[in-house]
Amino acid sequence: MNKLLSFEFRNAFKLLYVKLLPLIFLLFGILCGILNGNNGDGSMDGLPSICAALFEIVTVIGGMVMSKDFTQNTIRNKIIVGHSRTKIYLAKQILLTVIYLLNTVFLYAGYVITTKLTVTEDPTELYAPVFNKTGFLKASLIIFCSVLSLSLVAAFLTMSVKAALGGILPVLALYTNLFICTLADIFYNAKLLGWITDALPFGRMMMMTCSEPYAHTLRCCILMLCVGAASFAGGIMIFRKTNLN
Amino acid sequence: MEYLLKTNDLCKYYPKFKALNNLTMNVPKGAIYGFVGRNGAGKTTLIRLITGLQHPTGGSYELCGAAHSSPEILKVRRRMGAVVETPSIYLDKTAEENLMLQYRTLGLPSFDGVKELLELVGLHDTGKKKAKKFSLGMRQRLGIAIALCGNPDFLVLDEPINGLDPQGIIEIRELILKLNRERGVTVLISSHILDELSRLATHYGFIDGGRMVKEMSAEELEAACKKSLYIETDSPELLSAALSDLGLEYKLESDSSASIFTETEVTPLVLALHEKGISVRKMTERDESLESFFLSLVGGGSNE
Repeated sequence: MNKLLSFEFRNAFKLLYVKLLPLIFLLFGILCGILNGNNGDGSMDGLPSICAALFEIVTVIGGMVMSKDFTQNTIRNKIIVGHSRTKIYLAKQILLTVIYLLNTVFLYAGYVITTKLTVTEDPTELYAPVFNKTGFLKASLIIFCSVLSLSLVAAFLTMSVKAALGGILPVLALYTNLFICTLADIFYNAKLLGWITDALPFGRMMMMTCSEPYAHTLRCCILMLCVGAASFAGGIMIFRKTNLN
Repeated sequence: MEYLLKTNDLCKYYPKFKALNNLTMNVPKGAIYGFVGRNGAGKTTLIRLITGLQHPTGGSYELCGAAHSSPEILKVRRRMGAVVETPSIYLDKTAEENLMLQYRTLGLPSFDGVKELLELVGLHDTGKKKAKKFSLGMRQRLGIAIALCGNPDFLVLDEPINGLDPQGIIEIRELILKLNRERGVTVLISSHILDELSRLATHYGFIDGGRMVKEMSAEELEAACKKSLYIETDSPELLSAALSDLGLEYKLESDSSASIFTETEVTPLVLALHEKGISVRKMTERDESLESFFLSLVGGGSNE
């Protein structure tokens, strides 16, 4: 497993676009923080939609990195020399999750630090979760769970299609996800859509600016992790049975 | 005899196609096993199964004594190298980088041997040229070099000389022979180019329609494709007696012709027959090729 992890990480982090991603995320985080500072209240306006846009990029790049072994058929070199398929999947999953989380940390760090520096009003009067310990923890938990869940779903899709399409399909899934989230945003009172939104990665991230940004935090996190876990289990099961050429 | 690979009624069914149908084969340790069959006969499918790329629908196989369903099979595969159809290489990397990546995949502690492998396959002077700019033959050689990383005991090559120029074919042949003789590597080669296989193989397996038609050693095949000298004379009544007197192994083809199986010099034979009053009208060397033997086993037609 260590051999595979070392192989995956060395290969992925040699790529320029993978190396540049954290920088881009940091810059967008800073930009977002400055904009919110200008709003005066340091609310999370803008961060969810920027997150969505940035995670489209990370999804494409993550998918490209993961599917490279399939497009060049080098996945065979690992299987032929006796690496188990479960470990191959797991190594790729860990790589993708690390890419997602690392970039999230950079985005969040840029946003939080800049917001703290630019908002000049009395923090106790502010709506911004950055200045509210509970709000900050809840927002962080939701973002962490949604990013983790998204990486698990993206890995499942990429490993299941086993082709260059693996880099694109998760983005299509992301768009479907966002479409459902928008519907849910419009009809948030509809109970079912509320549950669906809670279960989808980014669902709650998109709702962060609504009147009750942290409603059902625990339910939301559990549902998203369940979706992620199901994708992970399904992905391994499919990959173990797949016929490779 | 110790076998490195044994398959037992191995089956692989796809939704609309039976690729392997109860295939049983045995690859002896230390052999160069020529796997012969037409397109679509099931050669590559078998290779995909034994390399773990696909799972059998039925039957079983053993690799170095480890059953395919046992966890030990993963350890055994570490002693195996393979090139399946097209070589699996990173196109955006150089030959050296490709080998280093395979060393990493294997978890080898150092890159000692990378240069030696590049020299072995004749890619030592490719420098910083990326694999995407390689010719088909160069890619094939790189694929073989990747398969050789970690000094495998068992090398599986699927059509290894496809795309190689005559010089490349000779080099790969020499390489396979060297690996087999000097390092004791067992090699399984599938190929359409039967003439080329006949220069290498110590054992043969003939496959057709997903079934093993015949397995035999090179000696048995040689006997089956025995060379002979066909002669026609104008003295049929004397021919049989003369050939017997000369102590030759022969078979009368007609009243005036015979096939001689004993290896013999042509000039002394003609002179000896002439002394016995027989004049030779026609003499040709006959050699049943591997191709014609294969066709006699599987019949004509095509699977495509």
